[in-house]
Amino acid sequence: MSAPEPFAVQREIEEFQARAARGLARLAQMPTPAVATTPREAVLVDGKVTLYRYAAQAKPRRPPLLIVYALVNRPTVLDLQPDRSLIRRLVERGHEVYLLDWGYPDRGDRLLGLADYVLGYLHRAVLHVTGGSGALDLLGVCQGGTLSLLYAALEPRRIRRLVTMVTPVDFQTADNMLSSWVRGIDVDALVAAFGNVPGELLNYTFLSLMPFRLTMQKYLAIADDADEPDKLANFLRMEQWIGDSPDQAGRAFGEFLRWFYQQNRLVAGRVELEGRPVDLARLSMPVLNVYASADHLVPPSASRALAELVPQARYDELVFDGGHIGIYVSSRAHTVPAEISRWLAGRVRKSAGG
Amino acid sequence: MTTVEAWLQLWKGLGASACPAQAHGLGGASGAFERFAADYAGLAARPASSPQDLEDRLRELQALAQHFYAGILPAWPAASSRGLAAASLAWAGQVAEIAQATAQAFAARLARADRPQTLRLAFDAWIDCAEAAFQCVARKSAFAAAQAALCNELVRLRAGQQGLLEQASRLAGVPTRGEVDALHDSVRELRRQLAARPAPAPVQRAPRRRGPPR
Repeated sequence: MSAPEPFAVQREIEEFQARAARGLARLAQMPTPAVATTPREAVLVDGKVTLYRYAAQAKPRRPPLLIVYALVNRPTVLDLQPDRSLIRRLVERGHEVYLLDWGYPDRGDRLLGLADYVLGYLHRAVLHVTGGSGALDLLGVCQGGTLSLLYAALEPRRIRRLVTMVTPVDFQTADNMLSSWVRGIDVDALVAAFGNVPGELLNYTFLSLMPFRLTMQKYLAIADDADEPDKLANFLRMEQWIGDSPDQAGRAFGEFLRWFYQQNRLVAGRVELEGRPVDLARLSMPVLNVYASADHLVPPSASRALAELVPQARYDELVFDGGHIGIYVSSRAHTVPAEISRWLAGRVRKSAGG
Repeated sequence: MTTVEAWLQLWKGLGASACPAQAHGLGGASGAFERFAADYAGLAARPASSPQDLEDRLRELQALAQHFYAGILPAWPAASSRGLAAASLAWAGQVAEIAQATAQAFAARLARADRPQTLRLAFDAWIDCAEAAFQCVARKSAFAAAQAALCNELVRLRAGQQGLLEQASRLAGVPTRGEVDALHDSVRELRRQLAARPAPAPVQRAPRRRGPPR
């Protein structure tokens, strides 16, 4: 084959520039895309933390389902747009869904530790949803899954079923690049220097896991989709979510890095919150572990480790054929809430979106 | 206090309270602060008596400032940036390894019979090569060590800068981060104590006595 003909190259450049200009002009004119549009009401405000309730849109199932998202990033990705919404699909299937929104910590929150989040905010939310007695279904997402495991181990009688989604459990598996990066960081110095750890710093870290695709190639979508407003709106919505990254309460962030990434305490069985030991082996409620086969942030090996740590629980896995974010927003993502709903109702398949 | 006096005090203070600077390896800088404060005090003590005199003073002040920076600059980077320079160098080595592996892979890709025929396809192929090279290098312990060392050095530098700024702020009467943090901590502790207090018992109202019929 020969090299491209010079005039063809020039033509391609001109066409690309024209498309990119059109795409940028369209983006500039677009209103800020609406996210989190599923109807909800705030039922508990606890400092900067808000508990939202989404009413079931079909014959209600019991008990309610409480979703615990990560402290990192915002839970809007669970309800990014009407046709790609984990929460909307669940309420359509009759689940009464509650979402714990951690809000945006400021400097006054820098001394909040993991115990404050798990035994404070999360516990109070559970009490609110259950009215102080009874049990609910708990769905922990990513880091929120780790927090949910801690809570379920400490308050097992309040959880009927536990779903963990793209949740890190073994933080030191060989293929966990983020973990290998974090292990040499002087966490104390980092937290002391920043107080709260800036969300931008975390964003930069996540982008740098795939730097060429996520900071260069991705933006060609502006030219590729210049004449497709819906795709551009999706692009903008996702960029908006990525940029909406709360600062992390310093103490909790430091504890999370040290205890889990650097010391792998969950696997070693050495986590304590307010002097109470966390023993995953005592978990006896049914557990569904959902992970993504191509997850670059939480590799499947990091999630699958849960199977060995909960010998007393009925343990099921659901594998999504996609990545860490695709599990919520890809065109195949609707299969995940459907399978979670089936499992909560007592039925499960072993893969989704494949 | 005049502005000159305030600045004088500020500079003296910076020179006198060298602890944060020394804690971050900037001990040499504090000596420069002290010298500047003493020289400036001498200059400020002699008010100008004529336009020519004022011009001379300004020249002296300029020389003083030059001397100050000549004193502080070698001390600062030498102390705080030695580690940063080493870490940056090690990091640059990792980046160079990625760039080299990318270039080799891309050259091989272009040499294939099915090489990309448009710029866009060539760009995508380059991204594939670069990402593959990055993933290969970034999974090695040397990369993790270099990145962590660079991060730790940058954090150290930031802490040093912040320590100096805090000193200056304190002497200029501006609330420092430490003071605001202490205030936050007090509010947090008060809230905790308030939440821990038992709820007050409901007030028992005495039964209302009926008065005598009017």
